Amino acid sequence: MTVTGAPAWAVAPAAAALLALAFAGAVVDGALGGGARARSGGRWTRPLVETARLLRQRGRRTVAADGLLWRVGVAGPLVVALLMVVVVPVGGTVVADLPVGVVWFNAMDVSLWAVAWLAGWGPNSVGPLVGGYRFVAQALGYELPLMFALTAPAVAAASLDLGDVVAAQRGLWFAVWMPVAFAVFLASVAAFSMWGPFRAPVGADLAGGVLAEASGADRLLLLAGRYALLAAGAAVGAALFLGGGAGPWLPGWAWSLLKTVALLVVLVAVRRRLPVVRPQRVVRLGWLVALPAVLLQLLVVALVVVWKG
Amino acid sequence: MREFLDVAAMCALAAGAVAAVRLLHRITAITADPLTVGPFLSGAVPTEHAVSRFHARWYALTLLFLAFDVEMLFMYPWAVVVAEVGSAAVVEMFAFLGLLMCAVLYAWREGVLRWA
Amino acid sequence: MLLVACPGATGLRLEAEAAVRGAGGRLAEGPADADVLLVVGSPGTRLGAAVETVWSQLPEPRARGHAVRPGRVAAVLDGALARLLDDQRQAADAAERHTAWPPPEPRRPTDDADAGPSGGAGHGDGGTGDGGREEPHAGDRRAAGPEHAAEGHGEHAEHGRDEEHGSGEHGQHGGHERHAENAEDAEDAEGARDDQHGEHADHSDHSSHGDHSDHGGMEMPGGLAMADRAEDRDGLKLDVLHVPLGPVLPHWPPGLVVDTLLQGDVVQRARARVVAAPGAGRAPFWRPERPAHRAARRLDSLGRLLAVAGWEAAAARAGELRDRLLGGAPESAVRADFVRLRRSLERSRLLRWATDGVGVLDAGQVARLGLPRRAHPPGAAWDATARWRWWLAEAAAALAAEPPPGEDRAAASARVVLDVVEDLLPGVELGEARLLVASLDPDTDAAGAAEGGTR
Repeated sequence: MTVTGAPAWAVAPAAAALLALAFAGAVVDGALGGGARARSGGRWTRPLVETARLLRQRGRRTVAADGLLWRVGVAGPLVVALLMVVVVPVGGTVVADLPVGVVWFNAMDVSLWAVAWLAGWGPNSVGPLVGGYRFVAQALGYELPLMFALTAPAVAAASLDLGDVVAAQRGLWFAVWMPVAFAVFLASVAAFSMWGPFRAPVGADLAGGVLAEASGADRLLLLAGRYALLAAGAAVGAALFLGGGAGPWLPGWAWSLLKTVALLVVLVAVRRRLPVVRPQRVVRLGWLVALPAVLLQLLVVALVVVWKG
Repeated sequence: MREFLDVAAMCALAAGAVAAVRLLHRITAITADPLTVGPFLSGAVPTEHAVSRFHARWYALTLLFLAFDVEMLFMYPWAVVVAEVGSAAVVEMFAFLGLLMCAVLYAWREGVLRWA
Repeated sequence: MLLVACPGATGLRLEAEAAVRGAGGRLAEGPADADVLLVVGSPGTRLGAAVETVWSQLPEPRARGHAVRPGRVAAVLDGALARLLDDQRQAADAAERHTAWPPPEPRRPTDDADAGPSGGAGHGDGGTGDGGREEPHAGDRRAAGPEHAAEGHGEHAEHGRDEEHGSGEHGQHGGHERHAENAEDAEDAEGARDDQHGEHADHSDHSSHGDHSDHGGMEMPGGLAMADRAEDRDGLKLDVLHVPLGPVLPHWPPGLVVDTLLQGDVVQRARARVVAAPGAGRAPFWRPERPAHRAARRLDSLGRLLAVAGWEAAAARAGELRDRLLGGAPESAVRADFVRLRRSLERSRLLRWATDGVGVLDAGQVARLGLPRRAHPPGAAWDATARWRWWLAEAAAALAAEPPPGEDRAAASARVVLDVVEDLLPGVELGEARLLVASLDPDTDAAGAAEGGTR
């Protein structure tokens, strides 16, 4: 199947789809979470209740905060997530048919470094400040393995266009013969979303870290942004490694959606099940385990590509 | 270039969405006027600003990162042409990557990956 | 929901945790995320002041409750939740509060020592839902505009003027000047805090936003100074921040305050103390002679450690087992679930990564803490991992109705534990520091009374 660019109005349904997925992620997270035994059914509506609560809650400014930078940091995750999905093909269409879609995704995830750090720096408070720096330290650990994991599908498809990458998976998903790259990619998505074992920047030991001073709309945007990042990561993962919209019986867009939801559920489910890994440990894991492993993976992919000619 | 117009449209939409959330919050919140508070310090009042020259003890690691990050510039174009150029491209790139990994091992030995 | 437990109120704290779960809520990690501030037990003066500060940081809608009698926590929480939904009341509260900076002044040390601003059993169990309105000067401050919030009542007005004119005269309290002078040099500032160790150090913290016109002479944004510098372990001169951990901090021993000097995210110096609380040191909640209590207490400590380590699911499981034991479930019924929990903890490599090498004790410290001489497994370091494994072993023995494992030694008092904490904290990253304190888990219930005399 070939992928074609959609007209500009397609950004609206794409954004709506991402937000719906982010909301679905929040619902799954609420349903998987413990507690709330007293009110049956309450688990499924938890994100709705939380949204309503935050919309009613008064905003806060900390004393001598850097308001502009804080706002940029707060809005950042959601904006970055929305910009990530413009290159993701859904079935046979894509919002922006960039020839360098893989690099675009990479550029967006790197911009999160600045965004998360700004969200931590803005409030002029120790907890968020330390959280912001933790994010950068952690990013130094996961970013390189992520970059090399992104190149593996690109090498196999001989293209940086996500549409071509999807087309190259006809017959065999890249996840099957690039398991290491796939695993590293998923872990990195969790890491740039400050999720699961990589949520040290928003850790309970910092009283919420980057989130510690945000209330009302600020908090809503940050939390929604995290879920949106997970959803965007899952969407890109479905295209890069799970064959995108390819599949029998159902139309292409349905397969894209289905695979994205499946990846999203996996990512969300990890959240409470694992303790947090400290950034220093993430760095050592990233450089000493993930990086060599993913380079070997890349070598294998490159050799296969050359051998097949 | 049309693709980048799509990107710009999404950018505008995203900014609009953020503005819409803030506007909605102004209407639905108890009061639109944000509350100015001191930073949360476990119930204490700060004696100085938290924003400061933060000692990022992993600064040495950033240099190592930079070396690899520059390498990524070659990586993306390389990825597209591996199939055409063939084994020479693989050998050259992985010899280079191997050298960089030696730098990682050296940095590890020097304790760059450990800072707390 | 932000829960503040006072030393000596362990029973109430457990009751409050259960009540929050019952209401379908969750415990907040700080004031920004909280709707309800629930205080259990009777705070002393300084804990009361910290509670007022945090209360001022909660955005509307907000409500507070204060429970001092067992069995009433759920009712207090319900009352607070009802006030939370009262739109008119919340809007009125918000309308008269433009700013919460500077925060409400704490009561003077000369005031009645043990009746905190909202403390005392007198008006407990009710909840003061309207923003500490019972405090006369809080209202005055609120009425003033944001810029001149400081004007309106004695103490603040004075500091406000100090700020504008740079007059160096503010000598009512020794703490002021010492702090102002020594702020140049963190070494001495630390010394000052060290020997004051009490109301004066605390007071200087609260009022120092007026002091900084002395050095610099600049108008400081927000009335706060920039961070000062101090020598670093790498020989660099870098900014230091004074960051107290506690007393109002989630997953933290009630009433514990560790004043740290932070460079980046690394603790340079630490001083630990327990704030006094009138309820502390009365009847101990944990009864070591009852096996269920021995096990439950270890599970309580374990739950806190797991929460700090960010493993919510396991922390919740430990808390559930603890509640079942305290609720009278027979040990044999709990044992199977406990064994499952223990196995998943001991198998978790990620948890060991988090706690390995954190707060390694030397032989002297092990002896002072009353821990068995040898860690388990033999030859391993006495780090946080060894300590939570030791807790698991103790809980397992209690559940099996066996005598406690290892040599029988008296548990160390909180002061001894805090001395060890002070020794171990320098040079430790903030997250590790939290784990370190959680893994040593000083019992502040009794200490809150003991330290009361030294204030």
